[in-house]
Amino acid sequence: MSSSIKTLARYIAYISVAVIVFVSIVMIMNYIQIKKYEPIQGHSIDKLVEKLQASPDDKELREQIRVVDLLSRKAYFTSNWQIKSGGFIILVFIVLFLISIKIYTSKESIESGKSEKLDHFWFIKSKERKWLFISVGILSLVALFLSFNTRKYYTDFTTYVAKSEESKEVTESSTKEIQSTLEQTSTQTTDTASSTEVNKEGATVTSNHIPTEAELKANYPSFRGAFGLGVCYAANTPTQWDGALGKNVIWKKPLDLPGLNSPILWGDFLFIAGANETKRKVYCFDRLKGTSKWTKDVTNIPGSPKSVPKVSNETGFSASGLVTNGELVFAIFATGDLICLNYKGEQVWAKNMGMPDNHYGYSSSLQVYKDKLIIQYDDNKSRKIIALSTSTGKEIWNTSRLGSISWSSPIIVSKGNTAEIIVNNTPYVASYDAETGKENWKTNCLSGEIGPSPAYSNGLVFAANEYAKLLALKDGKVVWEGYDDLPDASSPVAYNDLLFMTNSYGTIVCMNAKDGSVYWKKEFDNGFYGSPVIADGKLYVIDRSGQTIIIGKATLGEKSDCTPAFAKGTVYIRGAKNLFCIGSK
Amino acid sequence: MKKYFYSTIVFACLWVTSTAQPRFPAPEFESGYVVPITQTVHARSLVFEYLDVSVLFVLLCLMSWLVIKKRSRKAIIWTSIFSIIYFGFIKVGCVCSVGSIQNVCLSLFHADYVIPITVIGFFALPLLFTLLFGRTFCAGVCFMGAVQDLVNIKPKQLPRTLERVLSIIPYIYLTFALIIASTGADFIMCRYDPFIGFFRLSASLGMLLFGAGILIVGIFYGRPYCRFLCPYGVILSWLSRIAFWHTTVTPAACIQCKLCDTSCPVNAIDKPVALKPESLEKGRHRLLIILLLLPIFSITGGFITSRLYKPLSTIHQTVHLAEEMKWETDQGKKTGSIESEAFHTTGIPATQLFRDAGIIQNQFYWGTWIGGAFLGLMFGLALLKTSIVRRQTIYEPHRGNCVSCGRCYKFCPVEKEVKNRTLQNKKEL
Repeated sequence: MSSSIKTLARYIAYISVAVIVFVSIVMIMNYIQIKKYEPIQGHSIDKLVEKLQASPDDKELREQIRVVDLLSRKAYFTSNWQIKSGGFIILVFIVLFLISIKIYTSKESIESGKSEKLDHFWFIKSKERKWLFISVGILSLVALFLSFNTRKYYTDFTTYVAKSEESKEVTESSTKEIQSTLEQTSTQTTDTASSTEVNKEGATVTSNHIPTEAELKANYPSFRGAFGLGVCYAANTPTQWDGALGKNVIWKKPLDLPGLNSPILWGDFLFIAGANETKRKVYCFDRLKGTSKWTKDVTNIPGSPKSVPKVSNETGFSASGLVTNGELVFAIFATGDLICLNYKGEQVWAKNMGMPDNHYGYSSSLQVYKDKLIIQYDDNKSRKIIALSTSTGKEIWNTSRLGSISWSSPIIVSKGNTAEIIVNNTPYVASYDAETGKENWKTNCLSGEIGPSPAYSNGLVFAANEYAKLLALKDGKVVWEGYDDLPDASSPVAYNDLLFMTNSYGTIVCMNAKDGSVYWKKEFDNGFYGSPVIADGKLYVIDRSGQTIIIGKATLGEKSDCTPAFAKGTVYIRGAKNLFCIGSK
Repeated sequence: MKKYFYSTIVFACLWVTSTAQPRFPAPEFESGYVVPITQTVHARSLVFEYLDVSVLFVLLCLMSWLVIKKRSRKAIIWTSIFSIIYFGFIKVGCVCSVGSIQNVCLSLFHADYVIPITVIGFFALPLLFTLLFGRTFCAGVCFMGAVQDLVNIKPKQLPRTLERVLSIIPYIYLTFALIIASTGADFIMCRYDPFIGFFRLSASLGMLLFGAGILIVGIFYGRPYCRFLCPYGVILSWLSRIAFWHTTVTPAACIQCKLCDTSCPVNAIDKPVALKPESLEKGRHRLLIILLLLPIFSITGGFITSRLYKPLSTIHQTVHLAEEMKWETDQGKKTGSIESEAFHTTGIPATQLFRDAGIIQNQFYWGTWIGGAFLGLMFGLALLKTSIVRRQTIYEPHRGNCVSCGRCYKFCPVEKEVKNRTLQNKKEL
């Protein structure tokens, strides 16, 4: 061993000891500090919380608590991290110290003389072998350490895709089973009575109820009102309220399950749904008094998957809007569970549509056309538009569509005795005959992940998406295009010759629906996820903070990503915690 | 003094180019977008590409003649300078023979990648010449080797053991570079070429420092990149061992003066070893054990390396993007990266991306298994080498490690004597 290497080893040993001592002192100090003061249970926060309880409206104090809490948590986790990292550093330097001290204290090898050449040769080779073993051993250990420590941070996509496909196959096979059972049940019940059917739970159902267009417009039967067009026909809708102060709030009710679906209304009934990983519920309220009429737990749905799909927090398990035909109400959840209830809250029929393979979570809202329940059922595997019998749940038609997954909802354009269902996804905006499901036209014009639903007014269909473009289509042919202020989550709304769009950047733009020229554009501090609705000649849209932008502003007092529902003199809004009924008190 | 002169010229050229500014500076974007460092150079016209291959061929012929026949260190240096000017400054280092392994590898695994004939030329010619004449390509035709050779003004020798340990690195580098290239992920040999930044006037500060560091180390320890990093050198070293003609230290009988051993900057002189039959017993038993352990080393190497396939596969853009998309799916948020936004505009379903990523990961999995098995085998062979001794009576260059730089020529007293005698004969004639 040459003296220079020994000297180097000695210095490395000194440095290693110094680092070990230094890190140990830091760790001991850190440990004492944590022992002495556990930041999460800090008394200062308790005192501040006590103060806040005394004066709950003190926003500054509330903010102060948040800051102190954040700092405390940061300090706590940083300390923990320091202890772990410190331990690792000490271990590394102990190993380094041992190696260097071993080198330093190793006996001077006898340099072979000329007569011992071969022995010297073996000595050199033996040393080489030893160091090869050591270096390759260290490299292997580092590789193993890295592989085990990084395993959780990386995905095995082969397994990941295989798992999702497996769960899809299981769901599809169970769905088919349930469908055949339902078909048998429906054959049995059709013979029993023409006007009345009794399901296995004993709920009385009026079959084949067909709501008139006038009835649909008089109520608010689905997401964005009748036919999903975003236009409300109720008069005297309120323009001023303050949810936090209770101004003009007729009633408000907390909902025990979260959801992003918006309320729907029929007569005195208000329907809304909520769900989490374990529970799914449909709520019915008296829309005038705010009292609960009933709550239905959506359980024991035939074919319902045992495990729930992964959904994003921003979508949740109940983003799809409900729909009602005046006698039955329909709700669908991220699990693919579809339920039909009568107005007493009794289950008429239910089925699972197959667990959607949807990376954010299923969110398309339902629509009703005559005796058909219209479902846009797009996922990563297939894109379908399906019509089920409202009374039995039996499939009437099922049309497969080209293109990619979407999160938008269908709209219905009534044309006298016939109607078109307009849907969009990437890259198509398409129209289907509501009676037969046959495709009328489709236009290849969109791209990206489609969230916004189409809009319609005066013969023009409007479709838009972020990073793509805005299009006005007449019978599938492009009339004009736009490229600015495109919506991402909310849907456009068209009213007479006006087109309104909002987006999550906080822009509201009003355009001439005929040629796409911009009348006005306004930017707001908070973005819009909920869709705009035209009611009583005014544009209503709720920003993410819960402020409704009308002509002036009305504050809800809590966050909201939903779309309002309207009845005469009242507006119903789902906030983050409560369901509000607003009118004039 | 001459060596100082040459080195000063090389350093001056590299310093000037490293501090040069592009004619039109890159724009500064408000979004914070940073213009990426250029990785590839503009394509040359086909005529020039053929010219490049021709120049390479001529230089290889010339260098082989200089090394084997002429034995002129001075001529080798001038050829090296020409190589630096032509392949380094004029051709800005691309295509180079070192990086061409990746093109060949990619073309073997991807039917849709058509490898240009000139790249095959850059890959194959040095191999062919090495098989015939030893590593004459490394002597000075390779501009990277040439640069390091010229800066090596205070040659010192590393301890043999350290050298042996460091010599593992090129095998690891070669293995991972080929795995990554074969999956179409990246050409890391080009991306992390330490000298290319000097010639292209564009490199990150890190790479410039890395290159400068290697050159500074190269002042004292001969050709650190060639010996301890160059993946192409691994293949050249194999072929050089079975070369038909290889340079020798001395043109006549070795007088065992040891001067060549002291002068060799790359520690490539094998010393004489006197064999004693009784001492050989020491190695035989060990040799047998290592031979039996070879399959175990290979399997262990494959197993350990294959554990790294997931993090390694993220070098591939598709897998990297898939990880990003999965994060977005899990978190319900967008990362906001340009890649993510671009992917969303394509309208391709995320599952399709995940499926593609799975296929690429599978390639990485098998690639790391095969690569790891190769590394394990190389480790076993390296151990095997430490248990083999062969009788040797003179000082001669190690056929695998000798880069034919010709430094030993001028130290050899026999060489001087032969040259003087030749000169005298000429005068007499």
